[in-house]
Amino acid sequence: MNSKQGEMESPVSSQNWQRNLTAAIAIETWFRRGLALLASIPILITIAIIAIVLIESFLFFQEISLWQFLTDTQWTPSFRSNPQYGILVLASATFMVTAIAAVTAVPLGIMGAVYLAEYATPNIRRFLKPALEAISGIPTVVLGYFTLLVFTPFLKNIIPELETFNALSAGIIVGILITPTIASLSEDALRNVPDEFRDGAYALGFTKSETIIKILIPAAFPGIIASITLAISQALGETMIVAIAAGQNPNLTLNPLVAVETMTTFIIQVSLGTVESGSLLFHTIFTVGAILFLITLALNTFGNWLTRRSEKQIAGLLTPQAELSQQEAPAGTIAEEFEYTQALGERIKNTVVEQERWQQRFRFWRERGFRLLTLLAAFTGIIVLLVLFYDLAQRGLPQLDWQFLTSFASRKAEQSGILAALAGTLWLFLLAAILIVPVGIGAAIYLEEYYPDNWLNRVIEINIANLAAVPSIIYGLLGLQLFVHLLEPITKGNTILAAGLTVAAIALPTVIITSRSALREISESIRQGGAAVGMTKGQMLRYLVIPAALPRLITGVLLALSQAVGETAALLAVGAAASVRFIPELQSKYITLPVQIFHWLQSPSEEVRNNAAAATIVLLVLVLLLNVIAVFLRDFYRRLA
Amino acid sequence: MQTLSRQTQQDIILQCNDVSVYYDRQCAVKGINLEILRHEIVGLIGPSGCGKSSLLRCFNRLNDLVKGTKVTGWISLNGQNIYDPSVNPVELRKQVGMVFQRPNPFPKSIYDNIAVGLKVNGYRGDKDELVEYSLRQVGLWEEVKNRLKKNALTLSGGQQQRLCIARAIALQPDIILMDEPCSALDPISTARIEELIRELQKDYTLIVVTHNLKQASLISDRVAFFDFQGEQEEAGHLIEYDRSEIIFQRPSYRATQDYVTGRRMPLR
Repeated sequence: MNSKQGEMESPVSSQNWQRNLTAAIAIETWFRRGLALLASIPILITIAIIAIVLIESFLFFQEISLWQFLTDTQWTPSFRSNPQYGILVLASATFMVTAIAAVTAVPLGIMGAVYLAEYATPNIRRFLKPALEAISGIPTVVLGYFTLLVFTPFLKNIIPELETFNALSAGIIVGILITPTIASLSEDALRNVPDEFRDGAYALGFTKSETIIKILIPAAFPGIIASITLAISQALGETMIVAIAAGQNPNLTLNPLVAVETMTTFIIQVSLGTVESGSLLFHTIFTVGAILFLITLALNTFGNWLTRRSEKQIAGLLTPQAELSQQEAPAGTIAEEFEYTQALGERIKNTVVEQERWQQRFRFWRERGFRLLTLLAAFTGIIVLLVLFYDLAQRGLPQLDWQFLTSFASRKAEQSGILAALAGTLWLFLLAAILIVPVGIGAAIYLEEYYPDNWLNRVIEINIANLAAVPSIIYGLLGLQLFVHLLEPITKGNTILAAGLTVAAIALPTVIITSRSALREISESIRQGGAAVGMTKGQMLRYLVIPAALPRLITGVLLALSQAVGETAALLAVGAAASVRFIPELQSKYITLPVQIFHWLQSPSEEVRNNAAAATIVLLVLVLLLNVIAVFLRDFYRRLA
Repeated sequence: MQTLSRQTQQDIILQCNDVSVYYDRQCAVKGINLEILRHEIVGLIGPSGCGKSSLLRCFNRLNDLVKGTKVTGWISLNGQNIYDPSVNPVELRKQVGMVFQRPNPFPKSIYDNIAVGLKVNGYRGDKDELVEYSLRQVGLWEEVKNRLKKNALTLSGGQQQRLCIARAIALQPDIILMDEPCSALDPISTARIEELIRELQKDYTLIVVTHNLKQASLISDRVAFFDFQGEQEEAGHLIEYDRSEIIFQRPSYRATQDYVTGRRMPLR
């Protein structure tokens, strides 16, 4: 070392250090209590959802017997005289749509996962995976538009007897929507299969497709089943696609070509009218919601449990087991055994015939065919996206001009615009951001950094994962009861404030989950370094952990906000207006872009529907922008680290 | 275990009295009595898992951060028991700095890596001056003075480790703890750090855990040898503590002799 460097006089004298640790600790204690309060919010939301649907269902069954509910074959709760409450009608429609979605999504998802995990080059994968995820990020009202205006007319060419509203086309597009869930989780499961299995199969002369079908998919099977379970729960709760494209016609049928009404559609349909709080109809939508909630909760719990179990199982596959051959050797002499083996060997040698030439060729073609199929499956979603974009450009772009952006909605389609909807969406974005940033990140900090890592914390974590998978329409019901009715003195009923609270509740679990994983990624060594220079826990968080996790925290918030901006079903449930001709205020009626699109789609007029296309372009640009910023931030951070 | 009776009381900066460390119920190191003198460099050596690092982390109470850790006995720093309820470990850590096995600069600028420690400890003097002084002390100033605002992660491993040392000495601690400070570094960086440790002795007391016996003999005034007693024993004990040349040339115990002459594999 250069000795000159050491000669500088020490600038420190002891009175230079004045630390008020007592005050700092007092502030931190209060800060910590505040965070604990924030962390209790997701738990309160869970309790509120359960309490509301339980109480309302209880009131419902005071008036309608369970027997009637389960065995009636008609669903006419809005009839004045002799209403019928046969849940079978709605349930059968829901299950039919879900079954069609599953039949579409399971092969597409698994084959797509095979392509991603086994065939795709890293470059293709880098492009394909975000593109697949983009499909699940598209507001479902847009997919509803696509189903009604593009896909159903297309299917009609093939099946002329198809009705305009039908379960088949809605089911197929719901299937496209849930395919990424299956593809992404199944890909994880396939990648988790140890390479030893692949090596073993190739060493026996398996082709790639034989390896995949006979070895890899069976090994990854529990993980694949889990992905299907989670996707099906998503399909059951899907609202906008079915409400727009499957019809609103309660109809006990298994014919997929006609209009039906699912459970989610029923809730939307009732919410669009005015329902008196406390009426039987009001109890009814909550009872239907309760059933939906219970089914999706059960499926999610099962799916998450299966995922965890299969991960453990695969990890344990390579652990050698103790040999079990400590038993008695079978009776018989060694000579007998030897003779038998000899004879067996002769027989086998004589049966092995050389493989015919055509068999080899068949194997070769099957190989190529399989590869092509997986490729097609992986790109189906992207093809759908491209068709959607093309159609939007055809219909919507001509309508899209400055006047469209700056005018209020009008009866005259050519003068109509989206100003009120844009303002409403902006309001919603701001409200959701103001609510979820402190609550989501605060709760994540408390649960990850302060709350002990015990069984209760794990229960809370599972609970939040379940909350993230609850269909948004259930949050709509929560918002309707809690924010619109119970908190009316504050929110003034179905106002933008109530809507903001509702979408914040929807986005909150996602923010907590992504924030927790962002905090978890900050290494222990940095925290220890902070402690070693005399930082308190709070200073460690403030100066080291949160700044380092910030880009990923922001990414999580932006993705959640793009989800909030595209939310439709819950807003219809909490009473977004059908038409607003002023800039909304905090406690006024409001409309947002997706709600505007939904209402315009209800119109039979071609021009109004073209306006819906133009509004959809604006909505997609907004959502895309949020996603691009989020991805950009994440990559920027990766390069830095 | 011998005490250093010929030294007067005020020269002892750190004293361990029957210190044991438990993780959950498992004992990591047991019954340690040790006295460390001001301005000395003490090397802690011994096979892996015998509790050297566990003991080291008692001196700045970093063990407090690990759930389920229990420390018995007492440790006094300048005559004050650091495990006394009135002592806040956060304040203790200003007096006892620490450098870790892997360089762990904060993901911040080079300047902020040092300044943030000054800030949390309420330094009222001229921060720029103290940052420069600390960087000069570790011989890093000339290398980084033109890029103080650059992220510290852009430095090489050896530079990062010297930055971590600068970060520790900027707080003017009494003692600096080092937990295998060179194990993640190349030989040239290692030599620079070893040289630096000897320079720092003028101002600080240093306690260095190392697996490198040559390093231990090169830098230490005194060496403490830790080992398991017996085959079944899980916890480490202090076998021998004496001047460096005695430990390496004529130790009193067979176990020490075997270890320092390499007759036993010093794991890793």
